[in-house]
Amino acid sequence: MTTLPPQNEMADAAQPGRLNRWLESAGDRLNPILVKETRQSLKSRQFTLWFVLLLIGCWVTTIGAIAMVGPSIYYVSAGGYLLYVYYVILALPLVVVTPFSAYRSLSSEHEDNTRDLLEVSSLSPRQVINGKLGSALLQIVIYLSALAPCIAFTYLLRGVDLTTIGLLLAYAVLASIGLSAVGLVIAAATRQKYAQVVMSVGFAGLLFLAYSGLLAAAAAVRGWESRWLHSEENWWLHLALLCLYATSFGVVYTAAISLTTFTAANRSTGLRKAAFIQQAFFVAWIGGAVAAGAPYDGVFVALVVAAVYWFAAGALMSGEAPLLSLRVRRSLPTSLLGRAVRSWFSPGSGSGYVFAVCNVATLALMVVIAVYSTAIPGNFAPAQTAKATFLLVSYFAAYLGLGRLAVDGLRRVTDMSTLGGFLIQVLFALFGSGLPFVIRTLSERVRVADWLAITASSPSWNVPRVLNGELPSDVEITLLIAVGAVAMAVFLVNLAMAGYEARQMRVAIPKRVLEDDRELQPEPESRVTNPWGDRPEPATEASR
Amino acid sequence: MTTNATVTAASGRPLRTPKASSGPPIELRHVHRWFGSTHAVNDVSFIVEKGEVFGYIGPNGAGKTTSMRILSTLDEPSSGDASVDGFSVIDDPDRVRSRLGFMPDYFGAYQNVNVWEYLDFFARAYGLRGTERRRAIESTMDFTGLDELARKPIDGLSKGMKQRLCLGRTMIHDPSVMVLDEPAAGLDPRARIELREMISRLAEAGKAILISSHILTELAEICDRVAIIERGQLIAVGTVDEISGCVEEEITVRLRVTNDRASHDQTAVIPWLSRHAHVKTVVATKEGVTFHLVTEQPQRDATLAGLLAELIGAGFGVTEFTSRGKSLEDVFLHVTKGRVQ
Repeated sequence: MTTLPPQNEMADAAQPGRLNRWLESAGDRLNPILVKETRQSLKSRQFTLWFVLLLIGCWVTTIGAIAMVGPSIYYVSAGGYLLYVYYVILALPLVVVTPFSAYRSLSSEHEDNTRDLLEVSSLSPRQVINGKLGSALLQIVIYLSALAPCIAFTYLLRGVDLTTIGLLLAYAVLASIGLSAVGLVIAAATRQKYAQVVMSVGFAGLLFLAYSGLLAAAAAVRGWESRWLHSEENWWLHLALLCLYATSFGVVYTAAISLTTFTAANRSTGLRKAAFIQQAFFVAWIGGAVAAGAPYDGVFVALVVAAVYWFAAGALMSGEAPLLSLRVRRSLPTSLLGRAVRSWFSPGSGSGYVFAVCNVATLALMVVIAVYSTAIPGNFAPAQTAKATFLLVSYFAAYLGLGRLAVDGLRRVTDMSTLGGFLIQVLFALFGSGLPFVIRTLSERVRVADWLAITASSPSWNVPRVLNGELPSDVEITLLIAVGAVAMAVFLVNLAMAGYEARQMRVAIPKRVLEDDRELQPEPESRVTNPWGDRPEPATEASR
Repeated sequence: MTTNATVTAASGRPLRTPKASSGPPIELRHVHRWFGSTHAVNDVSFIVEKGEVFGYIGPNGAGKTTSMRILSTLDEPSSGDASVDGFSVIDDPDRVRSRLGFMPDYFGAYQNVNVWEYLDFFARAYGLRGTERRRAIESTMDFTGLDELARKPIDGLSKGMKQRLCLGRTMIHDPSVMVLDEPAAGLDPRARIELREMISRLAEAGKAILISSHILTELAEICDRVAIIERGQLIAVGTVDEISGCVEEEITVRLRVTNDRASHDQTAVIPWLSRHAHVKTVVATKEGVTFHLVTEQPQRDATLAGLLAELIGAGFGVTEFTSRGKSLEDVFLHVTKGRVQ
């Protein structure tokens, strides 16, 4: 006769099984790249080395600091100094090692020929990027947890408050994640070996610069002079910085995904949306500043920054191929409203141009509103600020549009990548902008300022002069009319060409794809539709 | 090694059955690929049916790998299209990838990973979960004979074991189509035979297999059909017999006769054969007499039978009469005119 074990013993025996099942189910939901990279990291010498070095650094610092302070530890506020030393140690793996590991992790996929294997798997580009970022985040958590006791120790030593500790750690973590995302963008963009070598060196340099910058910022935050940073009244400053960080991270993250997406797919809309969201936040902050009575000079500076940003983004977007792939055309909007609003987010050279110009024009409008609504006078006359704004937007529309037309023309005779189109547009704008400065440097006999034909092409020459009212009024009017007319003409030509892209219609989804969708997501069983329990007849192929 | 039953359901799932409207598992339609001024693939079209092993032969630089990369969604054609189970590799690469297993001619190893972890990663990457994933890994390791090496780091595997692991990775998600680029390269004879057996069993399980190899004798044994590509262009497609039939003008025959009668022994048969209208190059060897029979392909069997009857009628005691057609290597050299690129 068999004896059954007592009930509680059976429950205990079932417990590990249930826990295992739960853990396995949780493990199934983890990103495959994250699982693989964690397994690799735990066995890698590099991670072990850095982790051990971090611990040794902390122990040496702690023992050294205690030995130096000695018995005075009970009344000296040494926490701030010690925190800074720990911060110097911690920031190195966070800001240099982790982002560089993320960069290497993706670029080594090219070198080890595993990139192809990832591409032919069912992993989406978003999963690949999330996995790499998740792995970086895990490393950050491990490094932070290794240092947590030391940081708690600094608080006990006095001389540093929790806000400062929190701020410093937040800066380091955000910098690490942001730089890791930048590393992934660089790795995704460079596939050739020589480019990878150059970018490795360049990125390492950038990381050490960021490390120095972070330490400088940490020193400033720790100091008495920056106590205003900790003031509750200045919460908006942290919110603004966080907004800038979050939206920039969104753009970089979307760029990394776009660069790893296959070419026939829509690589552009996500990026445009991310940039548009960033622009919306930017406009909201500028609007808030105008409403709070900020001088319009600052708004004009914001316009200049936005113009440079949108020129780079616009050059990339308007370098895209004008013909949409069948895959993209499957998801084009069909309604009038949808086409009017969403067409500018669809991939394509012309739509990219119009999208960039509209975004800069929105900020220009903000400047004009600021000029005529604020009561606080700025350094520049309101009329001159408005004229300079008009001139800047005109230059923007003209250069971006002419560059796009040039790239479009070259595309008809030769193959050109998006990066090639971008470089041509940037070089074209730099040439036009730098021409008067080059001539002035080369020849002292030519009085460049007297020759409008030489200076007219240069926004960097004319915009500051219009802003300061340095140009004679007749020259100023001629310049405004000429540049405005060229910009309008170029914009209209490009708009007409963008109209061709907008006319591309949605194509039907292939029958095989619809079949596959139905196979993957079978229609739910029809529900009871009345109290008698009747169910509707299943739809037949003919009725569909 | 396992039974065929394991193959049919490598991941424990039923094999994916293509829909009636899905078209052939593999189809290339007028595919072109230009690299600058080099026309790497020039108007290549062919179809591979379910359960078929299709050999892809060509000299180095002929365009085999490029076509295979296009089919595997790793490259895009300059014009034309290719489809897997009815999905275009240009417009729906994501759907193609879930149905296709690609084994490139390189290994693609991750550092600090053992055999089980390597397969586990790819099973996860193909969306297999929980029990399904475990079963897929176990079946794959069993099928490829890697079950005893599960915890061994992949860096320490031999070339043959790495190829097995590559094949395991390719089949882990039970694809309906497999593209194998030079799977037997660098393997010893035993490993080649084992790989050949595995491929045959995969084909028996209903998978469409496109395979390229330099070892033509092996391809001839496992392929249902072959395509010969040279300078980016397909120059012959069909079964080995069909292709060799098109190019054969002469076949080699070996003959042995009894030496019990001096007037009808081996030395007597040589002048007899030399006088025959369809025979040329008669050579006496230690094993008998070898000669070439010149005939057009449709009349080949009839001519052979007629010659044998004539020999017996002439009083020769024939103990062996063996004909040998052209091997795939002969056909390949003939079709490609022996050029090496």
